[in-house]
Amino acid sequence: MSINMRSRKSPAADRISSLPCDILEKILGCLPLRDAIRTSVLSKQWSYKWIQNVHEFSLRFLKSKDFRLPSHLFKFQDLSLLPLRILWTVLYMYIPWGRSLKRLKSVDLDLMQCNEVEMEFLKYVLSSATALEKICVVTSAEFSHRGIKMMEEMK
Amino acid sequence: MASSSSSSKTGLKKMLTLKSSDGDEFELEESIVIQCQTIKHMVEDGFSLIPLQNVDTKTLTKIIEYMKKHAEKTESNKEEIKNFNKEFVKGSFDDQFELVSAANYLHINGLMDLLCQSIADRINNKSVRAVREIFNISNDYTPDEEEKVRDEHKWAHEGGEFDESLD
Repeated sequence: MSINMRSRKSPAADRISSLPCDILEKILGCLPLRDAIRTSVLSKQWSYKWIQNVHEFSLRFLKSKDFRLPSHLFKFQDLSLLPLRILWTVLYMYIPWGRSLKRLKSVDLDLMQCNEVEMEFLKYVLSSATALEKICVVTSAEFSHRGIKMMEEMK
Repeated sequence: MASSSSSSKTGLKKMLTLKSSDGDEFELEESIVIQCQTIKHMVEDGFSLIPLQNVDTKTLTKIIEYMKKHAEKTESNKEEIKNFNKEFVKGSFDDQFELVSAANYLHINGLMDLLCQSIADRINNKSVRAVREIFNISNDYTPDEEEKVRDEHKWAHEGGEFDESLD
């Protein structure tokens, strides 16, 4: 690791943005989530820095009709837990293919609709979460039929 | 700052020399210096003169002050260490960035935690405008783009007053 610390001394320099990533991530990790998220507005360079520190994430949708999952959900490289409770909702999810959830260990899905979008989402999680240890899906009998079949096919 | 006396006093205490990027040398007991993981590994590899090309004298002096104090840590002086830490992080942001970069390079975990928390505490609840100004961050979003980013997490920007002060 080489840090040239003596070249950044001009008073008007943006020193914080030029700190090594691991330091910035650590500083952001010490902020409450709300403050960390607000740093995304500082400049383009900051737009996703706060995400690196998210390890657990929980979503609960109630009666929303047209909801898109934020695309940066899939940029949480360190995410290890993903509990999704999807109730009374018709879900249109934005799935950025190609992003991996490589550290995801546990998924808890409460899918009530068992529509195509949800099936696609489940398929996506199963195919990209290579470290997955536990998946819990709560749904209707019809879905469990289709879901189990799909999971067996993917084994 | 260099403490050369104890090496002659006893043969038990192993001494090490740290050399700053400005060429100044500091002699310290090994037991103090091994709080720093980078140096610990070099000591294990047999080094006793340790050149630190990324750490200038001013920063190294502060870091040695920290390591010396923390080497004295016991069950009974917790309050004293706490007060020391509080004083230690009082410098300007520039000083803190210099220290945090060095602590990161040297792998002094306790000091990293202390500095990162202190920097975070100082920007906690500041307005976006204030943070930009404090750190000279130039906003390269167009007004439309910025609006969009704010919209993504409306809740984080709403409710409550943000601190506009620039200290």
